[in-house]
Amino acid sequence: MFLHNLKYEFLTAVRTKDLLIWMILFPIILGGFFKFAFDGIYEKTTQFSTLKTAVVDEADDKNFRSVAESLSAQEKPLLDIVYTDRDNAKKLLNDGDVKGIIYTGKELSLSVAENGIDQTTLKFFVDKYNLRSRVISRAAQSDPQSIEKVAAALSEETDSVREIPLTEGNTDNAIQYFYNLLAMVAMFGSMTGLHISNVNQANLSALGARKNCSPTPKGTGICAALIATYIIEILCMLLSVTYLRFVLGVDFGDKLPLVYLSAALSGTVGVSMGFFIGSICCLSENAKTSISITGSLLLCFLSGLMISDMKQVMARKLPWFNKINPAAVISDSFYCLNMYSDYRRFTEKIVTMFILSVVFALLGFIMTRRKKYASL
Amino acid sequence: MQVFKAFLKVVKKNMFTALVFTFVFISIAVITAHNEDRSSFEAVKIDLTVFDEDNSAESRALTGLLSEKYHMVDTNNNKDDIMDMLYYESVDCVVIIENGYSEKLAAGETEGLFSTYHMHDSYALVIMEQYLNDYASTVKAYTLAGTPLEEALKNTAQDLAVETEVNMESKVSGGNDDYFEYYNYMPYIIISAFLSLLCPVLNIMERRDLRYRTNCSSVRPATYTMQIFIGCAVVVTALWLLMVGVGAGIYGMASTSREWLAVLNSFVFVLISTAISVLVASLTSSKNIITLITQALGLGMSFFCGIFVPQDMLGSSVLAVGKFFPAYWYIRLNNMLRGSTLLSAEKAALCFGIQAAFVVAIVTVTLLIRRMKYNSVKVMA
Amino acid sequence: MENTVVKIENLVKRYGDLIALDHLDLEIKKGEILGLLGPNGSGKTTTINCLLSLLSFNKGRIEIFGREMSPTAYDIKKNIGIIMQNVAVFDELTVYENIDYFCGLYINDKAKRKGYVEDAIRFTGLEDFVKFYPKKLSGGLLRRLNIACGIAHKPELIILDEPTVAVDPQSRNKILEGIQQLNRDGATIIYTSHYMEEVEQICTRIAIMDKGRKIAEGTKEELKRMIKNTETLTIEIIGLTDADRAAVAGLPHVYDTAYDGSKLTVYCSGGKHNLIRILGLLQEKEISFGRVYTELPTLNDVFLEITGKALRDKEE
Repeated sequence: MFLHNLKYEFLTAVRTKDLLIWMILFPIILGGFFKFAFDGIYEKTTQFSTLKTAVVDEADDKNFRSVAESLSAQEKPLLDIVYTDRDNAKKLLNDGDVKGIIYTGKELSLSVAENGIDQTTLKFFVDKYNLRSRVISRAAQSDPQSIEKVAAALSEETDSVREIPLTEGNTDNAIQYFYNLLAMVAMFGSMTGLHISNVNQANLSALGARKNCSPTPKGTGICAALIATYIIEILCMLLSVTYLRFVLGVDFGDKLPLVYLSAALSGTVGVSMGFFIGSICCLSENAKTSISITGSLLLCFLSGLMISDMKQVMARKLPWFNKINPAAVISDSFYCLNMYSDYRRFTEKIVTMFILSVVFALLGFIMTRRKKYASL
Repeated sequence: MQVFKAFLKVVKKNMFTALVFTFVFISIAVITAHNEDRSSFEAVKIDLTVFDEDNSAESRALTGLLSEKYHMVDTNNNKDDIMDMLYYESVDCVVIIENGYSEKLAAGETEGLFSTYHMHDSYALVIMEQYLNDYASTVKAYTLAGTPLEEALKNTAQDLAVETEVNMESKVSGGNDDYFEYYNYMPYIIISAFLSLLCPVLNIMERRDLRYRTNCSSVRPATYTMQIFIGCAVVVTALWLLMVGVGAGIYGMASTSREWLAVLNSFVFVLISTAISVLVASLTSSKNIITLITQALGLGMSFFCGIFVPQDMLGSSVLAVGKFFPAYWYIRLNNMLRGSTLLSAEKAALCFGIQAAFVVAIVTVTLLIRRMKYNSVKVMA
Repeated sequence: MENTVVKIENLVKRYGDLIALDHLDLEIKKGEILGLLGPNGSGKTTTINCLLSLLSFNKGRIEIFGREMSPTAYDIKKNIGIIMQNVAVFDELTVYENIDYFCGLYINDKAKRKGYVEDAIRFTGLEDFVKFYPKKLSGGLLRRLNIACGIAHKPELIILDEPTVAVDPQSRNKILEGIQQLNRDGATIIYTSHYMEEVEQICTRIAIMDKGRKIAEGTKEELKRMIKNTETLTIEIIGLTDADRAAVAGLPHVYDTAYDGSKLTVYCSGGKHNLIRILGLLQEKEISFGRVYTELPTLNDVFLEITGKALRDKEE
């Protein structure tokens, strides 16, 4: 009886083509987008470009000129300097021809017109220069002979900080987006979970009524539907991971089998959640669909899908929520696997997922348990 | 106005969905607008933990300096706790002043003075490292000049305390920055909410049997289309006003001309999104496919065009692709208006113009598709 | 009482203030085809849903095969076949798969099931369409599939809730013959419909419902006897005077007359020789007349008279 049900649940699920297409296409499309977008970020933040800068040298600062010359001599110079007067510099800045204006004087000062990475880089440069000139002038007062040594010490590449790695995993921040993408795919699995109660409840569909008239106990039918949906969703999740890992080359760390395990389990969380939403009796199918989509989106948003530091904000403001937000738990499980060498946190996440999955499914069962309806 | 009335009734039936969407998206926008600390020149608030393993006068001097400048957080000195604190960003950076710090400093060595723990690369980390390196090299410079260590430390502290003056040239106050931040997320809200409301409603109105029946009636197809159009316009305007209203409720009415331009910008985007919705509804009637398109378009566009990740962080190839999406131009204009990039009349006009061109292009494509699709029943698109 | 298949006692179902079933009693004997007639909203479908334990009810008792029906009475459900008003099949499954699926909910044995499914396909004449998906079927075929899904497991009690809505005459005849065949094979059948001629054609007993109550029950002959009208006479007469019409109305057994200028309709209740008597009167008064028709009451008359002629537009 059960196997018979399972077989046909499977058949119907596989033949619900548009849902299946979307379950598979969605991670492929968005994964591709993410890959493309975040590779771009990497390129931008690691390779700075030469910045066009206007210098208003009213103080006729020889020191600055010599520093500037030595900078320009480098193979990929930091600054491309235009010496000009105050008015013209402003015009250049306002036309967007230069990124900033450096004014010489007792100390360098900087004018910019925008807020961005280029401008921050300029500020770093000016900071460094000012510090240097301050130190040199002070040192010159106490011991004019030492200026050269001092200057040399200041120009030396200083490497006083040693970074102690905490993890052997992939520390690229962008990977978070892929974790969250997987969490989102899992959460959208709730759409497939929705139909389970739909086709098994007499008050929701004619099919449900027919099934309710048969001698097959309702629990059996729902179980079969749930398991078939789990299997399909798990396959979708595994496919997503495979695609991200082997087609897009996303580095999930060295524990790939456990990544697959985690993905599979996350699929069941989504389906159970959808089953639970579907069991809420007083809502129309449309309402349930929109609740499961927007709910999934909101949970994913709070776990950092759109703004990556959202999860940290939540951790600070609502720490308990991160621990039960399915999307956050799912993405954390991948994260823990990548970052931590021990499995304590990972196990914790896996157990949480399992509990979420079971609780949602149980609640769904309880709500669909009713066998008679006040109205159809 | 029968068709129009029916349209509104169908919308009313589907309103719950739309409101859920709008509510969720607006809360997303509001939450993010509030949490943004995209700090370029404003002092970054860094949460810092220092483990002083040297515990000398020199190291304490540095610790004191750091605690003045940054926010100090207590963390247990074991790796697990540190990882947790770092992971949840309760602390941005953990600095260890290594044993032997004072001797090395006196000897003019800079290498191996500090160690840091961190989870992933962050802006805070870069600033921290820069600061420690500057500190070390400055102290070294002073000692080389023969300054006694104690005085060298004092001088260094003074020198590092001076901040470079940065002027925002021609920084016109665009108005309340949160206001623009809210509008920054508008394209995502608008396109997602519109697609998820208008597509199902249009699909119902265009359902084959209903369409056939209306075609048999005495309503002229042009009138029919016009009424549908008016229906869309009413619904879309209502939703847009709701979004603008929520913005005004939280951040106050637009008061500067730039803020009004931001509102106008969002209206142009409303037109684009409406056109896209009609286009999508003409292409497919499968709910699942519509959801797929909504999510892929909403999220994809947001990442490519600088809604979630600022445009200046995106690589040139990404931006090159982004230019083919209307939201790119929307965001560009919004960035100009808020004053994070330069505003010029021509550039603003260009952004408006390109968005308008998108509307025209999408409407044209839609008309073509509908002509082909309904050709057999001779329906005016 | 062993040959009572269904017994409904004192069934009450309320939707808020609306009373859907008002102390309904109904009994169905083995081998019967019971026609459940009633206007829209009279409670036919509600009765069936209560019978199937899909709906909760406020009062009353339902027994099927001598045992109380409940949602978990699987051994009872095993012997019931249900054909719903709405087509309830999976769009994603083919004709064969649909029948096999639903049959499989009743019959575990695979080999046995295969035979049953094939029987059902033959029975409904769907042999040429086994690989089709429901979306590709015409309305009549779809209804037949709907029926096949309900009867494949050879149930003893078959409930058909308006199975012939929107079906062409060929398909309808096929369906009706099928139902009679099932009955001959031993199944007890409950059949609801608005189509009087269908009910008249196949049902051995008829219950008429209105406003949640059973207002009449019996064989069609019994029902026809229950109503006032036993004969309707129509006579073509030009220029009948009111006095003459009154004379006709005054005849014994005539309870009503109608005249539209060219046709006189006379409604008689009971009695014999009504026609002779009227024609005698006409001759006597030297009134010339054209053609004469006489009609016996149909179930339609019964239905209309019992339930009233006002238009029913309440949704069920």
